[in-house]
Amino acid sequence: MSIAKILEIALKTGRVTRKYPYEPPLLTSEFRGAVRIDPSKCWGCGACVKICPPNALALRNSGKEATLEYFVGRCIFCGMCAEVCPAKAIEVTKEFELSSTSLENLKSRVIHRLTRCSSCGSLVWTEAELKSVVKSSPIAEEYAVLCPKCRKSKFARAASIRIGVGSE
Amino acid sequence: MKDEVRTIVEKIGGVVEEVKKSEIYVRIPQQTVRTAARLLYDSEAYFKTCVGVDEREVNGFYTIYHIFGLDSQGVDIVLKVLVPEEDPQTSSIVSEVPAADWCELEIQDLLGIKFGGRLTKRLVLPEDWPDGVYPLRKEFRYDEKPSRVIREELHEEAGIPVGPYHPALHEPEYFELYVEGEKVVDVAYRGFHVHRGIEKLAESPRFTYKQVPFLAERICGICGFVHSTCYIMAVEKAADIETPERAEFIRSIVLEVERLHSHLLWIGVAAHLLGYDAGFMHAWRIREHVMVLAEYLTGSRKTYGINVIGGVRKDLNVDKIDKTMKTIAQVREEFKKLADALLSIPQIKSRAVGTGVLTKSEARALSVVGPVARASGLYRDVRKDYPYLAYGRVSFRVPLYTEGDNLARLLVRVEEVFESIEIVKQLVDLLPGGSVVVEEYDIPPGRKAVAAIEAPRGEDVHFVITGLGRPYRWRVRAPTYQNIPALRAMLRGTPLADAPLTIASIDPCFSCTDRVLVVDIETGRKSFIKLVRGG
Amino acid sequence: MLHSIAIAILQLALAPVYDGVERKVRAAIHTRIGPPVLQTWYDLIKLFSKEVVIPVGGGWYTLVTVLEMLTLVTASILLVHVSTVGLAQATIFEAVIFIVLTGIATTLAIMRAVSQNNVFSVLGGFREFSLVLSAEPFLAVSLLLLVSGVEAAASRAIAALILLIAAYVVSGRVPYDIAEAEPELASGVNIELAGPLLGVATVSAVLKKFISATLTVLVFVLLGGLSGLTSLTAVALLTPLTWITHTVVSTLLGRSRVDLAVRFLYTTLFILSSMLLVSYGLGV
Ligand code: SF4
Ligand code: SF4
Repeated sequence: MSIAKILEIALKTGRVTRKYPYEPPLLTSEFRGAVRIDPSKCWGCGACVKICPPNALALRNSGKEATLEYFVGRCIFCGMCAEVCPAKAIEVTKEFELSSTSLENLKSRVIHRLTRCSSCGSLVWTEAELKSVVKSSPIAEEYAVLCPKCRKSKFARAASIRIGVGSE
Repeated sequence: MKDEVRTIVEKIGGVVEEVKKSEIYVRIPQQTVRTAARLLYDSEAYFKTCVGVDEREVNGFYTIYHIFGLDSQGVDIVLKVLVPEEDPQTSSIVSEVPAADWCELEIQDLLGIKFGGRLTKRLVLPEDWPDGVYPLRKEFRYDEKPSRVIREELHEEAGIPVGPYHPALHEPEYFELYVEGEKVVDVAYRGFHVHRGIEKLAESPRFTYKQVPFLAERICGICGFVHSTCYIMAVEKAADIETPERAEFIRSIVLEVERLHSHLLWIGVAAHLLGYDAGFMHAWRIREHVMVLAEYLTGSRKTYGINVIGGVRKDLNVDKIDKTMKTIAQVREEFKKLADALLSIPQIKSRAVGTGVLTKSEARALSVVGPVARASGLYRDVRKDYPYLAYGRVSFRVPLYTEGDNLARLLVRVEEVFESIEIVKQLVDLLPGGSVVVEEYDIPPGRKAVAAIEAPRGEDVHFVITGLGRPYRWRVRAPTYQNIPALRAMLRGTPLADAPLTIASIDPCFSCTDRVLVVDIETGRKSFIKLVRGG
Repeated sequence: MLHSIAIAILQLALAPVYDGVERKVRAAIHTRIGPPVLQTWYDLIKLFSKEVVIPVGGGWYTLVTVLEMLTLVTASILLVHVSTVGLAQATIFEAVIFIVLTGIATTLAIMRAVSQNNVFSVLGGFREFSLVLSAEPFLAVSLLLLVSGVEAAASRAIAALILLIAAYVVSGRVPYDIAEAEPELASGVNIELAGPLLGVATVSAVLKKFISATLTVLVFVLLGGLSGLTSLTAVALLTPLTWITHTVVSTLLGRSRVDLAVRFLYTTLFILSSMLLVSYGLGV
């Protein structure tokens, strides 16, 4: 009787129900869960914010501080942010048990102090980004602390002095 | 152009604007669109869909693209009709091509173009949407919220309600079944309760080319990878981006893995609808192996997220290939036994035979797709007709049945499970080396492309016009969109008890279809007498 | 009689446990863990602790639902009482009372289903009606015949077979759970019930399974010629076993459709009854 075959199959298979959460969940080595941003590495460059498809990441600027906020409630665990991060500050974890009774618990923030242009006082960007730029590229610190506009005019002035043309 | 295709194109008349490997764009005047459509339909072309585009800032017109698929030649013929801005109307092709019914109404609602010579009604937009506001026009912002209009309730509900939240279907949709005793005599369908407006979203500044695949993947919770692949294929075709061969193979493998999980899911649901819960539990138990494999290959059980323009984000290695082979071998063995048991259950046979019949001619007239078409004697499979990705390199059988009933659709899917397993095996054997993604590419604006994929539910069509940084227009036609209209033919005369099975037998995916909204209530219908009345 | 009632109470308290075992067994065949064995008891306790929801139609409807359960309780007690003496010792009177009680219970069930202002409920009621018509008359005839003490082996065997089939139909399991078929009727006859009233209907459903199992066991006890204490012990031991057998059978099948079910039952039971008539007439 082939209708009774199912009994044989069941007997052979045994029980497949897992006693989760008393048993560990089945996760493969490739599983992508929530991401974690390492505040000590992040520059606040915003590349991750730009790529994030569901807007789970946001960069807010209060004038003094720039805040990178990660709201796991919107995250689709795609890991694109980790892929584009120039500072390798984002790690894709295997966390997925994320429910919480408070919305705040679903948010994490990295706060960056902003620097101002040493010449005109307008906003440049985060201190962390500044430092890493100085570290990684051959740019003199006196230029790096300037906003792009002042940087340009300072460079023009310096260049013109060097080639002997009077400025203005 | 092949000679056969050239003869057809010449007969249509009009201006051939563009000829690509598998697409031919022909601009024809409004007056001849109906004859052209007739001609194409008579030349064995299937109707894929129509697309309305607001191209006023490009050429000063609204444009309608009627996409016909010449399956036998593997070529799409796209009729392009220009509709002037000051007089937005054109002639309908529904009288020649019944399958164009929904997409014309969709264009009418979203773009405000009137179709002459057919019955029209509000279809796509909800009842409280104001008149004269057309969301797909470019001046309409994607985050705009027009004020609600309160209208009188148009109809009273009657008959046997199946939905909007029906236990058997697990998705919001609404069928009204009119019965005589236990026999269904007519059906009214109303769906699209979960319209998300993603086509508009994708062309808004909120999205970029790179982000849309993740949006596309969320069109469907079951076969999302189909949608992201199809979108990407359309963009890659439009921009002539060469994807590495290895990436095409990986995409094909993942597509087949997705089909396995989708079919196993459906077979389980079908068993449950027939009261055979053991079949349900065991089918889903077997499916679990596939889900775990998918996670191991891509990083996620569903919404795999590995598709990017130019390739894939995750490569295969020896371990993954090994696990793939082991899993499909195990699935094959276990599913074989289950299928034998399932098909021997007397109630399954007696209830699936001869119920929900869709004849071949009805299937042809509505251009139905996928297992529904193949169960009604239409030999259609995008993987064979328009070989894409790596499908040209593998051999497999396309199951074909002529009965058109629920059993035929069940058998098609059962056999396709085995075929998919064979395809995965061959793909893994042939897997070429090399990289899996091209990083450098350029997507010039103003290019067009049609892409199609054989999803588990049938042909999925994406049409893209490229824009700056994001698609100018992206149109999705999910397989269920094409198959739901056939339900009316299938449900008439079917016992009420088999109605849920019949509805489920097209493997409907309402959220895919619900990018737009449909109401199918004709005022004349109310004359049907409710023969079963409560109280 | 008193000790019959005591035994009956014990048996009835065990019925939901048997139902729990049924859920466990079914889960095992599904390769799943399933709910605890006492789950049906937990369900009942929970349902009865909820606020009373009276469906549209009012108190009359409630009355019918409760009456249906009480009738089934009485029928169950009667069966248990019979099992203390054995079916062979049961009187025709008791058999008739039992048949009348089950008849009343099904009539009440159908009444409450079709009186609802809900198409699913009404359809479920009609289905129940068709099903009952195609099983219960045969059940009555074969039961009466067996109790009347037919000696001929062939007649007894055929009557027993009819009773076994009809008893299975009474249990309301797959393939004959069409009156509340979830996918098409969304619980059908029970759709309007909630809280304690649903609890009452759940008790009725469990009792039907209990009656079905006990009746089946009694047939075997009769065929085995047991009576008195041995009969009682046999019933106590075999009822859960029969229950499990019914479970396994139902797990292996799919749900029938009302027209198919009626046709199948009618043809099968009709042929068997004709055979019974012939053998009874011939006295074999
Ligand atoms: S450094 Fe990385 S994490 Fe920080 S803002 Fe840039 S991309 Fe995001
Ligand atoms: S994982 Fe994806 S969704 Fe989540 S924060 Fe990163 S980019 Fe955004």
